[in-house]
Amino acid sequence: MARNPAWTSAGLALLALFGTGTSLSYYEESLPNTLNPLYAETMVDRRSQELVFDRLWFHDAIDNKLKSRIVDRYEVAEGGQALKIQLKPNIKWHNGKSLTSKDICFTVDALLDKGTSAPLAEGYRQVLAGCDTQGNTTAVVRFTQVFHNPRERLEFAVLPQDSFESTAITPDLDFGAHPIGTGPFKGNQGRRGVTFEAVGNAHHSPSLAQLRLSEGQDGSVLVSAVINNGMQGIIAVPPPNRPQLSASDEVTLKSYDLRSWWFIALNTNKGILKDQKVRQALNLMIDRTELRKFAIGVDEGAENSPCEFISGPFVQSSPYYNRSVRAVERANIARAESLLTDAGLSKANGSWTQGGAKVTLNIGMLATLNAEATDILDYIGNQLSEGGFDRQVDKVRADEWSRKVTTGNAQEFDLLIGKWSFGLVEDVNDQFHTRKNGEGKLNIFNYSNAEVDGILAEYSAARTDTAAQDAYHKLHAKLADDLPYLFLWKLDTRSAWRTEVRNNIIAPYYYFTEIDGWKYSK
Amino acid sequence: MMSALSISRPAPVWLHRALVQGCGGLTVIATMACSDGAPSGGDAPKAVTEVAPQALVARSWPVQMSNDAARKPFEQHAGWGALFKRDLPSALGAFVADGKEGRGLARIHTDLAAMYGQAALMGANATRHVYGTDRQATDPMEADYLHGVAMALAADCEKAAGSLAKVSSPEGTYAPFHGYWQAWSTAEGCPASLDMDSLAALPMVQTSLEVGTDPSIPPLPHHSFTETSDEARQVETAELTHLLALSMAHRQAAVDAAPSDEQHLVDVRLSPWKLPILGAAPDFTPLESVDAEWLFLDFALVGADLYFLDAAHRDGLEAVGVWKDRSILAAALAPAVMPEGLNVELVIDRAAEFRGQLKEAMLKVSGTPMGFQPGFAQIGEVAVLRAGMIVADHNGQSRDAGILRINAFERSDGPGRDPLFLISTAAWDAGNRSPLRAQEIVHGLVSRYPSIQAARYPLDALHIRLGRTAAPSTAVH
Repeated sequence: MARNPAWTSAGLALLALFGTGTSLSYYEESLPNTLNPLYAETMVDRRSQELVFDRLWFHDAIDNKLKSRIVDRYEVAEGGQALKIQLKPNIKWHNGKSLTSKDICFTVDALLDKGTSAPLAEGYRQVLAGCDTQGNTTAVVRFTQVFHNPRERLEFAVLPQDSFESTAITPDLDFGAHPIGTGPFKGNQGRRGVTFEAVGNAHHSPSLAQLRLSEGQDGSVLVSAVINNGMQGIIAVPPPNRPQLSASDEVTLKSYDLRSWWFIALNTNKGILKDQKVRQALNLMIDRTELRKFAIGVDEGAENSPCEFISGPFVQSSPYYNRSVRAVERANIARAESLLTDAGLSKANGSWTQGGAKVTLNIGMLATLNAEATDILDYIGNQLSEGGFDRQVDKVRADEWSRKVTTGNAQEFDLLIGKWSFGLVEDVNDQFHTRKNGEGKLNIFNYSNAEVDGILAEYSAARTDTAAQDAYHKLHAKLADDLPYLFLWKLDTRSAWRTEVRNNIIAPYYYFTEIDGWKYSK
Repeated sequence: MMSALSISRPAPVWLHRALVQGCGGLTVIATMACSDGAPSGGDAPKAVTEVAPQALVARSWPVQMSNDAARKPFEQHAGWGALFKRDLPSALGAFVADGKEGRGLARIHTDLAAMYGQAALMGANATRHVYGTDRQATDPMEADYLHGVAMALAADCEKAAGSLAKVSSPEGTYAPFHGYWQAWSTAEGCPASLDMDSLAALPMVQTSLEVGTDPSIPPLPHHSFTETSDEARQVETAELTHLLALSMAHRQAAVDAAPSDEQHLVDVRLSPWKLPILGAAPDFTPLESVDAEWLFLDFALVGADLYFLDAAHRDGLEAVGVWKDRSILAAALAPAVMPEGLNVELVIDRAAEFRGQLKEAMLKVSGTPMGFQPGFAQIGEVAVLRAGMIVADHNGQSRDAGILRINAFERSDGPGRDPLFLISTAAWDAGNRSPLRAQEIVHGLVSRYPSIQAARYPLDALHIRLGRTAAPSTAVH
């Protein structure tokens, strides 16, 4: 019997809503920039998209087994260079239409289309060669070469062909605000939050009827909202607020495996910051121990600290971290001043000048960082001010950061405070490679250093793990010396959920992979 | 937060400090957050559910230690103070200052034995992926040796022998080790017990240690192998045999330190964490009563819990029925035993409820809330979760066991932050081909336990390999 797709969709959603009546509200670091999975730029994007879409394959959040909710069976084909995929039956898109092999191949084609400018798509172009359908339920995905683990290369979110006019998918489409997926929830982004309505499906049966995402505020507000059951969860609890939540019987703190490190990017193309000595001086002027104490609430020498200093673009537990490069923990003003003097700056009446003019630093910060490290922008500004620099400070909204900063178009700033988050893949080539020929896509100030480019090329060309590790150790040492970034610290992420929220398994990196099993009993 | 303790009698410095740190690590906020252990701000008092019989709970160490007189000898000893902070080397040093015998010493050596055993397992688990399922053509020829040792540690004689046989003419630092493991894996009746004399004869292998010490394994790296690539880079790695030997040495030190009629408790405590290669422990007769020094701050709350955990590791669900009238942990799990297996959701609920029951029972004894009680109650909750994990694992519910493990891991804060359990979780992660959390755990513990650095080599290799062959991903902010 033919059914009206829109009616079916609404019916399924309502069924779920009235079936359990449970709605869960939680605080995120910010609103998502986009719900289009090709264009995730923030961890909020990634987490939100995990609710709406199915990835072709994913890793189980408990035992890390590779699984698929939409693939019924598969076989390696064409001498190992293809994977023949049979889809599970009766899976519907949120608009009621059926998921078919055409959607799988459309997604592959979109990733391969150079008109799709997403960095993620560029990565897939090294892996995917094409896709053919064999009837409505079978797709043959082809690879550029034989991989020993072909399924692990296919963790992209599947997109609905009918929602796009072309395989060239651009970031500005309405799909980013009103996406259609096959995931457990249908997402609708408003101006003040995002509502995710449960959608029953052949492969999903979420217990929760609705999730409501709100933008986080001051840490103490978040905490009291959760303790008083005004909200049920906080994705990233600011470290100073963790003990209070930990002491409550009503709330459970949950670990969230995510590798995030913080930095201050320096505009190496502008004014005094072109000079390496000045960058080294600033590195010595920042007292990280004091910053950490006041902004994050971690005392010097604290055991099991959630915040650990770094000297390069990796967390200390990473195999890429070069442990022979020491992190700068304390300021060394005398050495900093000596370097600035060597660089031709003069200090008069407590202020650094160049050519008789006072030096002013324009400092920006990704606004969402303030939730995790309160007033850190001011603390950094104050330290540089005490060091003798005038400063202007400005917070940059997450969407503007994506649009302007990571695209290399925020050259008016001298310093930008930000963080990067990674999962298993800790590739930092895009952050430090010269921005050309598709390289350096996340190079904030268009930093360019031939030696660094050479090291990054070594990493890319590495045939063995040792070669890759050696290259990144070298990179770490070089960046710690050349300082396009002042490396600050890694900061653990911990979530808090009310104890009534049960079975809430948090998946590494993607967070909501196991959301179907979450329950909320008031 | 320390007022109750301070008013009644000045608490020792370690307890003061530990109480503050145990609440979250940030002194100023912890003082506010912990207050006196009473419910905070918006928390309405909850009805307490009886998870285990009150009489049993009254005999548990958290309740017993809520009595000032019972706690006094422990408070006054730096060894227990260090154990409260889960600083095993400091505890070892403090206990040995009293002499080379004692239950405290035996406890710490047992934990170290288990922890180094789990570290060896972590290394082995990572190795079997790197040089097994994820092997690459450019790996060194000696990868077969590393894989062989990993399989030996898992007591898989056939696979160990197969891999070791692929190394045609072993030379250099690993050759004697290769000979040892080849002899073991091809011996009649493998997996038989290890030949300790031959093990002790291997270069720099330490199969015994002085009671009260935690010596480090030989300086790392132990081996350097050449990749079979054009560049012929060197792959540095560690000899996991050293971790196994260190574990065995600590076990013997624990036995030596324990009172003669209580030595079996060393193997009982080790049982859930024992490597398959080490075989079964000798038979024993359970004690009627287990001294509090075997229990204080442990995840066995009464003596019978120790025996139950040992039995659960061997017999799974069946052990719950056998021990439920004597063991708090078995009693807590019993209603979650269903025809289809252990109901993990129920275990999680009961663990949380047990925390409330324990709090109430402690309060009855102390009369007024004490700062350490929330931490003790949390150990009780984690103890139930860990016990459930052991039962589920034995029952073939590996994913359910994983859920309980993760729940226990998330609640392992303050005095419940047990390095043995953390390392065992890292070993489990490595076995699941999931290196990130394991690396964090190792990184957090390596300064205190430098020998576990040995397991870092294969773990790092696993991470790099998986990261370089994963689906494309980009950094986000």
